[in-house]
Amino acid sequence: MTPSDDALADAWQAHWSRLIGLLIGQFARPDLAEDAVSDAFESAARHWPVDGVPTNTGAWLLTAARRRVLDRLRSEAVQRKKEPLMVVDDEMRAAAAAVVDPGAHVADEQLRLIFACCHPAIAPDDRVALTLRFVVGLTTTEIGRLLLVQESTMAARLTRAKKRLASSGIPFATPAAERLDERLDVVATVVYLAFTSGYHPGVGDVALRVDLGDEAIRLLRVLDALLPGRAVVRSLLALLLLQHSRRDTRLDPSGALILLPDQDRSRWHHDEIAEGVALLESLAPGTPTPPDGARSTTSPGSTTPTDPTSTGPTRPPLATPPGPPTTGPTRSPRAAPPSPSTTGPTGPRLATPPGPSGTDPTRPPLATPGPSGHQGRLATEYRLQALIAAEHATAPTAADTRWSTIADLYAQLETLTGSPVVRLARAVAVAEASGPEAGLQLLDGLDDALPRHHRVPAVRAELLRRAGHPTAAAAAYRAALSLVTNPTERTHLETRLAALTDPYPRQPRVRQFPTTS
Amino acid sequence: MRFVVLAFGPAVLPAGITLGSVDTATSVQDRALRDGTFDGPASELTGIQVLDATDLDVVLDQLPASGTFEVRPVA
Repeated sequence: MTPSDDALADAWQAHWSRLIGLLIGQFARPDLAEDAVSDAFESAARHWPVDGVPTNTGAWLLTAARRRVLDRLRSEAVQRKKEPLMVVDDEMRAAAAAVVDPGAHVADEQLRLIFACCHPAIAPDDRVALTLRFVVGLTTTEIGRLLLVQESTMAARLTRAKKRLASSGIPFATPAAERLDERLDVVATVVYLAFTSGYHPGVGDVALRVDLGDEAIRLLRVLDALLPGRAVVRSLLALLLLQHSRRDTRLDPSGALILLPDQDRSRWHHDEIAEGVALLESLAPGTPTPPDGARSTTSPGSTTPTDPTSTGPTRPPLATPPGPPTTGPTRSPRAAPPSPSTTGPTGPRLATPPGPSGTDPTRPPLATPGPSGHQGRLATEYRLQALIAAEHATAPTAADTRWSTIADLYAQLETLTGSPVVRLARAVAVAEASGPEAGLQLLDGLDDALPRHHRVPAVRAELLRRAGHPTAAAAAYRAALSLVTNPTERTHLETRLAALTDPYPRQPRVRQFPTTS
Repeated sequence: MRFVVLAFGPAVLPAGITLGSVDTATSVQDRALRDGTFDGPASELTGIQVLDATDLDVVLDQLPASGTFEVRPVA
């Protein structure tokens, strides 16, 4: 890469969505803004290698892009012959002069752009596509590949969505305070979808798209900086950091899936795990300060990863006794009636289990469902998911995973969402904590709720195998194989089935399922 | 007597109002938004109002909490 290539790549990363935001803010024409910014980058690709990289690449690109918009508006006006050219020119000059300082409102413009792309009057799929295009700066081809839509279809859809963005009256504005949280939930959902589409592409050869995860996290950091302290943003950021921290270990060199217990934990990104855990501590419901004795990969106040501890025989932070003011007492006033399956507080995942088993009968029951405190439902949902991810991420070895804590968290999540996918994951955790039969019981009825979901029979197969029913397990594996679309997962299931029929199995050590890989 | 005339297809009313294309329509069902036009029978059309607002959100705020509506900008 030449210096100008590097500069161009950096500029794309740094300026794409800002430029789009600025131009839409100024001209209210998303379609023109996009073309103009693309043209500006094209022009930069031609000029910078020859003329040298400008000192202020953002200003250079903005000037070039703005000139393109003005050209287009002028030629549109000429075509319409509605107004004398002179008048248009004067308007254009005034408009261009109005934005003398490109830096001042950049953050606001970017935020407005995000809220416009994620407006609830835009179809959910289109929100994702528009955000990936305008805010993240992916090309139509890339978006089509990520969202599993043919390029021509994606192009048509984006064109229509852009037209809608420009003409249906959708405000290019940060929502009013009373509506901000509701709209932020929509934005968070879009970011979450973008992230998961990178991790579960479903069909095709791409098992996971690391760069989409990077972009989703970057976007959340931008949001968190622009609208500090929002629970839904921070919960989701924690969740994505914790999930993404395992990215380098999820596939082997041949592209085959490596299940969580077999992943090389030293290659997880421990700095990101620490950040995710710290975010969760700051989000503990009802406690503005992080809970004492919180389980963490880091010592209190530190943000550096503690790799050494994760290889040690015990988890020192884990074993730390809870400080006198645990999170329990503060939560107990709001505690819901104890449900048999929810014995742990929400925070507990982070908050100190007394022993290696991670169960604490003395811990007060959790305020189970619904929004906790001022955190919205979606924020709570993301936080519970992040707490589960943190349990996995902070367990020094797979054998140390506190499955009963995870099962409790899944029970809370299921109560909150009623989602059959959550129930499936809960069945896995319960099987790990209490044996395969307990897990199998939770699978009842899931085939109807998730008829095309290969993971239902895949999990059932695994649990049947463990419960000592190889014939039934083999049938369930075949059922899973008839539904699976991702080649990586297909290979995994075929391997499992083959191992089952092998008269001399090599003691397959499986603690984990693709649902949590 | 006062009449309301609705124009369809390429017909244009003299001094009438031309609606934006279907792509610009937003449907509202009890406050829930969906992109696109009202997808029920045309016979259910029961009212028309023309109002000026800075953007879609302002219009949506003025709609009753329940009921089915379609909002389109004027072309």
